[in-house]
Amino acid sequence: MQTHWDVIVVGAGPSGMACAASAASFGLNVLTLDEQPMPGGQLYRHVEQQSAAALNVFGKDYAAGLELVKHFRASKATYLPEATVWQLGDEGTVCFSRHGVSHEVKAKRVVIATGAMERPVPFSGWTLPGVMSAGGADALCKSSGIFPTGPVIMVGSGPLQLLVAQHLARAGVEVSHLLDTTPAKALVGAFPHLLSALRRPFYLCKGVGMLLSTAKTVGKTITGVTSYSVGGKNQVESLTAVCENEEVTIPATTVLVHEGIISRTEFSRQLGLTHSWDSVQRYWYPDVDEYGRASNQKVFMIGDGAYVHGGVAAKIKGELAACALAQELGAISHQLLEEKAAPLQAALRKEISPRPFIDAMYPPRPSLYDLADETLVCRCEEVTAGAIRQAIASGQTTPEMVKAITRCGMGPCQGRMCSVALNEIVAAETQVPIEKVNAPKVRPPVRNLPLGELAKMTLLPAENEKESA
Amino acid sequence: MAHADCILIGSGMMGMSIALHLARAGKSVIVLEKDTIGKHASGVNAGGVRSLKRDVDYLPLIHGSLDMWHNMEKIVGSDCGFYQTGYLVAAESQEAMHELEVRSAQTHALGYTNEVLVDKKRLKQLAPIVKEHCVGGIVSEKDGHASPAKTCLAYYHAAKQAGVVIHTGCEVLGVVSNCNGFAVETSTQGIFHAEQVVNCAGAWAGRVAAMVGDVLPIDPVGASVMVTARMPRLLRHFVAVQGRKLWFNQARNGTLFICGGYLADINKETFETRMNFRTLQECVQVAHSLFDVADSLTIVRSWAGLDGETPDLKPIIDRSLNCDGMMHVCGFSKHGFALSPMIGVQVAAMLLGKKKDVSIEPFGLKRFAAL
Repeated sequence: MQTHWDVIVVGAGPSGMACAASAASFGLNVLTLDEQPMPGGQLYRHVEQQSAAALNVFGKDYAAGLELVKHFRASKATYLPEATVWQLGDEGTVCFSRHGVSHEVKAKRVVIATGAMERPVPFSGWTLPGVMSAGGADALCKSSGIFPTGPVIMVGSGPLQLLVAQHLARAGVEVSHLLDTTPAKALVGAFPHLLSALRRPFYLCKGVGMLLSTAKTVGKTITGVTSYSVGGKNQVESLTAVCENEEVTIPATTVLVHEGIISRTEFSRQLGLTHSWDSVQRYWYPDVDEYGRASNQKVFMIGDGAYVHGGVAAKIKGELAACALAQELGAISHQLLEEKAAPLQAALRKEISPRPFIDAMYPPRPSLYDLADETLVCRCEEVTAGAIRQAIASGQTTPEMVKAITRCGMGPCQGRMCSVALNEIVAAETQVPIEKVNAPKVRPPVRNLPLGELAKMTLLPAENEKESA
Repeated sequence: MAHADCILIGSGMMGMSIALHLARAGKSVIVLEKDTIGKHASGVNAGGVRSLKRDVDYLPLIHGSLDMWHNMEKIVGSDCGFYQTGYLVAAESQEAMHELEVRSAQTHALGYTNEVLVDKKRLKQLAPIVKEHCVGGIVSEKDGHASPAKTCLAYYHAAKQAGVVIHTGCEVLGVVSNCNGFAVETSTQGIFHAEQVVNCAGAWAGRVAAMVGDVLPIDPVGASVMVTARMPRLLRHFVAVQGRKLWFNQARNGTLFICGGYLADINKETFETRMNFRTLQECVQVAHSLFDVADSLTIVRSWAGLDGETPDLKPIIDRSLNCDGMMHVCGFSKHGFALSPMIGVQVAAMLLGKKKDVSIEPFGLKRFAAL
């Protein structure tokens, strides 16, 4: 296996594919590593293998990904699917596991294109079988053709929820209820951004289209939901929602939850890159420049992992990064970089112009993390919100300290599911602004690593160790 | 309170343990901590409390500490997560077994009877995962495992209850000796005054010592620990193999700890640590060669707690040679946690004007005179 590359791209979603293909077209030696068996990321998951009927279910925007996948496949970039990256080093090293063997490779530049994730939000009953995230259910539909059996109850807020409802309706799955938790005041906050959004009316039309279609297909829509929980013994049996101080309980077998989308930052946090806080959508995103250059000069962050702008913007961000990579690695001049970047930057500005409106339309509701004491926050280590509050009350005033005492976030998922909630609870209890609360460190390996793989792998010889000092 | 009898710099286990016993003796005490309580080696080490095969210089201290570890509930109002696991070192050859026999005889001669030899059959009973070729071993059933985070927290609460004033997020910027003792300047709380100052700053102890003109041979060091996913019960003891760099143990929750003094990279300016997968690989290769079960383990997490290390890997527990009233308690070189309860008692006694205890005599500064 070739160990040294110009560029290693982690992730083959829209931004990773676009970046790799474009960087390769500049003559750079590019390796793309992706966890999935085929390219596409979350958005275009398995788009290559879908039947015409399935493409119809997932819609035109999904089918449009096929072109990008083909372009990526045809490019000179080397592509390794089913490769799970478990460690990034400061000096451009990348460790990954593939088919039971781990490898270390190195590049002059590493591009992190690991995308976004659904905001993990615990609530009473969230670990019961029958509860899934809407995006997770959609991924299952795309990759395996497995659709949930209806009737399905959808709960939460955000454009993806509407999109998934549309997919389910087209596939003939009954969505009996849609419980919308979007705060009623959100529209007021979004209004000032309307003008900007009109620069790219496509998304407004799409949004209105989704609203109209769900209004037609969903059995009953309830808006203004402020909290919800699910109950059941070994499986979901009912969902209880609070709406205008009234409680509604609905029998349920499948509950799909969605509370918005946030950047995935485990690699950028592991690398110690600097981040900023998005106060509207409430998530951390890495600081990058217009080309995706992060605070470590060997690292780029692109796509939704750099900031949630959606798939089309992700592709443009990937292409912009490729231009900067080509210039930094000597394939094109600075002048050519500017020439190539200008139209891409213009396209990106236009593409993301509706984003402030959409973000303000669907902010996380204020009560999102007002969890009851008995609600499980860390499912790996079975730590409740109450245990976290107790630790805080006893003087553990940072997420790192709470983690050490309660084991919240110490399980196999390494806090991916609970650290957002942990930070929010610490901020609320200590009354420290959330942007001043330091999330617990991401301890390597970022993904669980079989001990035998580490024992047997070939690591690259250490470079001059003093370099960083 | 801007004045105290004694100021401790660093809220690791040394600082908190000394502070607790000083305060209980009626002294006013301030602890200054630039980060959070026990953030570095004290709070994030592997939690081993071991007398087995510890250098004989430490035997009075570790046995004194062990007596305390077994009674933590009474001392600090929490068991600190301590429980008796026992420690075991296996021998792969007759030569190695002979080394263990010498060790056992040596400790018995000094009056410590807990390090006992076991034959092959007994070894297999105690730790079935040890490979077939091992011929015997040495066991100390008295040793155990504590939770570093819980221990730091328990000492913090006990110290506070005893009247210790603790400032976190408060970095010491300078220590000036004057006719009344010391003026200690901090980043967030202004200047504090005290008759005595104790440097318990771990990895930063060299920097603190320099503030009073002392040159201590201390470098920052980070010992790596790896933790696996939970496994069914495999072993009770901390297990090592004579002549190999490895400790292997299973916590009560089923996760396994794998460590052995393998170092993380440290930026000498910022003291930031980065795990070094070359040294971690060495560590797991040793584990892999010694325990069949290694192939079924999955590494979930790894980290390294920062400590200060001296050239002979022994701590410095001594008064400053050039600055009256200043004391250094540092340089524990990755093995201070288990000793910290007794060191707190001994150093507090020294600061209270009692005679220097014999148990801390080997750790004087004079041994570095030639440096």
